[in-house]
Amino acid sequence: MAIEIKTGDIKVFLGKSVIIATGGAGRVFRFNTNGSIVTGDGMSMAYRSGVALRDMEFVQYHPTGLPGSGVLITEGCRGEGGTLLNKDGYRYLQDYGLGPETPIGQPQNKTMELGPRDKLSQAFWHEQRKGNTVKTPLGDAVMLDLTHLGKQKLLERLPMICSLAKHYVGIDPVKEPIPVRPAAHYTMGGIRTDIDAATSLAGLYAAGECSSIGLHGANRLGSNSLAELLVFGKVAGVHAAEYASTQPGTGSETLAKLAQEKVDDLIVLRTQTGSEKSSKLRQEMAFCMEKTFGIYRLAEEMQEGLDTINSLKQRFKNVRVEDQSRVFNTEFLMTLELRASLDLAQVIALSAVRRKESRGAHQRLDEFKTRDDENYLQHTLVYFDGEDLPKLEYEAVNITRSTPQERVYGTAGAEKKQEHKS
Amino acid sequence: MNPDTKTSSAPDESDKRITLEILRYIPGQHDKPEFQTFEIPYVTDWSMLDALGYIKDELDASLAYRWSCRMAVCGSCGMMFNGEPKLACETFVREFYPNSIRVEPLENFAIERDLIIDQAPFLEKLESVKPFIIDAAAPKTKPRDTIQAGEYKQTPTQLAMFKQYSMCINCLLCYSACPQFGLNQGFAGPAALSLAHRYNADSRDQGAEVRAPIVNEKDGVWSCTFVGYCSEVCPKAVDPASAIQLEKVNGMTDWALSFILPKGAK
Amino acid sequence: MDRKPYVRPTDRFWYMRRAPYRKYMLREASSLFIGLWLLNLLIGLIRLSQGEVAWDQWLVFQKSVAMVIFSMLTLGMALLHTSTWFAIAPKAMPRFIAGKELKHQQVVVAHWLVFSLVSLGLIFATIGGL
Repeated sequence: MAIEIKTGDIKVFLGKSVIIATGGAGRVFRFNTNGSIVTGDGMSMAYRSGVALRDMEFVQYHPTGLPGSGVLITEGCRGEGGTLLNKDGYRYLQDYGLGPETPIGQPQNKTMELGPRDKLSQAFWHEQRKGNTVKTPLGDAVMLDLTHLGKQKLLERLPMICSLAKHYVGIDPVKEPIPVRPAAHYTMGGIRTDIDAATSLAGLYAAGECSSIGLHGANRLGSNSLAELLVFGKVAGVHAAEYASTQPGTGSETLAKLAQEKVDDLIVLRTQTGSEKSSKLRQEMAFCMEKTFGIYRLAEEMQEGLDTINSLKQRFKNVRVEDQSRVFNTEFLMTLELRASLDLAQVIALSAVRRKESRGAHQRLDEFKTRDDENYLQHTLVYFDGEDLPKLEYEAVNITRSTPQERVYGTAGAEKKQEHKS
Repeated sequence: MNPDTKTSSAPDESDKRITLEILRYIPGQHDKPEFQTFEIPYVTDWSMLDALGYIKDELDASLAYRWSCRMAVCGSCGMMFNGEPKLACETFVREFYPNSIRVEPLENFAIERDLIIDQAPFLEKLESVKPFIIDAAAPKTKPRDTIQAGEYKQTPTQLAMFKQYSMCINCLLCYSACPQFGLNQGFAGPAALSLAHRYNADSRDQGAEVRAPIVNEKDGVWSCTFVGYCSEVCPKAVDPASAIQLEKVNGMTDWALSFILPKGAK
Repeated sequence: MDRKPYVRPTDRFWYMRRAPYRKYMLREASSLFIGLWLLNLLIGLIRLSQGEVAWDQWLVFQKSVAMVIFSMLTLGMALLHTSTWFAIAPKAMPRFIAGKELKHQQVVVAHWLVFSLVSLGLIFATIGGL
């Protein structure tokens, strides 16, 4: 079912199979690299239809977003030899198990600035606590230095970065380093699917950031989201088409009746009187998630966050859409997006609270600082349960070829690789 | 555990303010568009998009506008600021402060609502130039949808022939700038013609002849009088004016050669 | 409520509203001056064919105050046309010539160079001929 934004009319599409490819849920956090529509609508739809959302607590913080806007400064900068410096001009990553310092312009995989995103974001967090970050008018940051590349190479390899840095922080990367800081970027979790992109609901498929095929685990590698789209986009397409070709059509009367219920729901939401303002609830949700489900998490804070989200969900029942027009009613659309976002915020919060260990992008600084494979080498599954708190279960991880190892980078990582070979 | 206390997108404590005059139009409520004035906090790092967002969240939830990426790649947020077509996400309040800012939807398009225009005329033009690789030769040799067919190879020079024209984000600023489009809505326009040129100039494409009825016609490149304003407003340095002039050169050359060469020859 | 797209009325004086449009109209207006001056030259040629008296009368007319002012204006407009055209000529040139990329600046400079040489040549030829 879709709203024709141009007219406000609701249209029903009858399909024998459906592929959800609606992207992630990064906008539930205040400071993020995502565009306006990354609100998890598709995830919420699948969730409310009974499909589990898996591993939602794993949210990737990309280490280099511009302060203020959160605009993404691509990892390609570091690939081209860009270095990260704290306020003393020191390449601080070597203090966090990512050393030794590689020569400028000669980056090495798994070392220093080419370390994994979660570790780089965590390093920023620690530097900030130590007071080593640079104070900019838009908040604390570290400096991404690309000056060694020179004007020609920069314009040839990273033209967009030059333009973004100039517009949003007034920096010319040829002459000065760019201030950057971690921003919420990607949701590793999503709609639970199998390797054929199929969900537990026959005929429903999901691909891309909205899905959890199990590819990314607790931390996604750079560029894998693009590769995932290409591979599993095709897989989903092929299987969805196959499924549709084997199905007799469902009686359109049944579907029309189901659709009518949803239509009535929508009309109620749009026209109900209430006291809560959708923009205010959205801001409170985003601030809460940023504060309590950040790079490092604590039990009491997370519980506080979950309680706040639960109360926001209650308050949402009382929301009033001020704009009652039909043509391009963007306030109503944003309210619908908020409904989805609150679902997801609750799932993320609950999943994070219950995972009593630290793994990948879910890092805790309370009593659960380390990885606990014995109890938590599991996927988190969350099921919609109407008015009640969602139901949470665990599912074993399917281990076939590689067994889980300790994550080591820098020198330790190189040594380990040597061991492996011999 | 968030040590940050500064929330940079909230207004400063300072009492600096700035005024926006926004053209409103809600079908059913307005017979014709009217300006509405808003006074908002002045925050130095705000883009126009941030300012509109503040108005929508705090002052008037009914204000409608298109936006998405907020980093000048999606092309959604084109609108007019003091009569100049720009992207709201890449235009900053500080460029105008302390003067007031007049905000209107993109010129030369019908207004659907508030700052949202009817894009349908452009989308039709875009489709009409067949913006995809037309590989006429392939069916005769081997289909290119298998790995065995081999990849297309291009030298950096071949890439340079069309690369900048592929940067178009369909933001429609060039259509608002173009006075010929303003006078003649049938004109294919800068973006559509740039894209046609992008494919015509691509060594992998053989479709110039197929596109000629749209491109090399009165409402194609020949309605362009080389005002050049389109290239000035383009946020991606596509330089649509050059694409159109190059197609004019190609069109003239083909026409001249058609008298000398037998039909079908190149 | 249904869609009701609103078409803004066209502005008859659109070309006055924005600086780029005004510059464009000035550039286009130069053709008027140049065209009229060429008409004047054509008349001069006709007078030349009509004998010495007619030719001398035409020359006297050229020296009148009105004609001098008009000629100066036309010269200015012609130079405006030349400089505006040279500034955008690179956009109409092929991207590569003999395998080498043509830079905008090179095209502009080359145009001015050829223009200056030809103009100087004509001026000297004219003075030399007198």
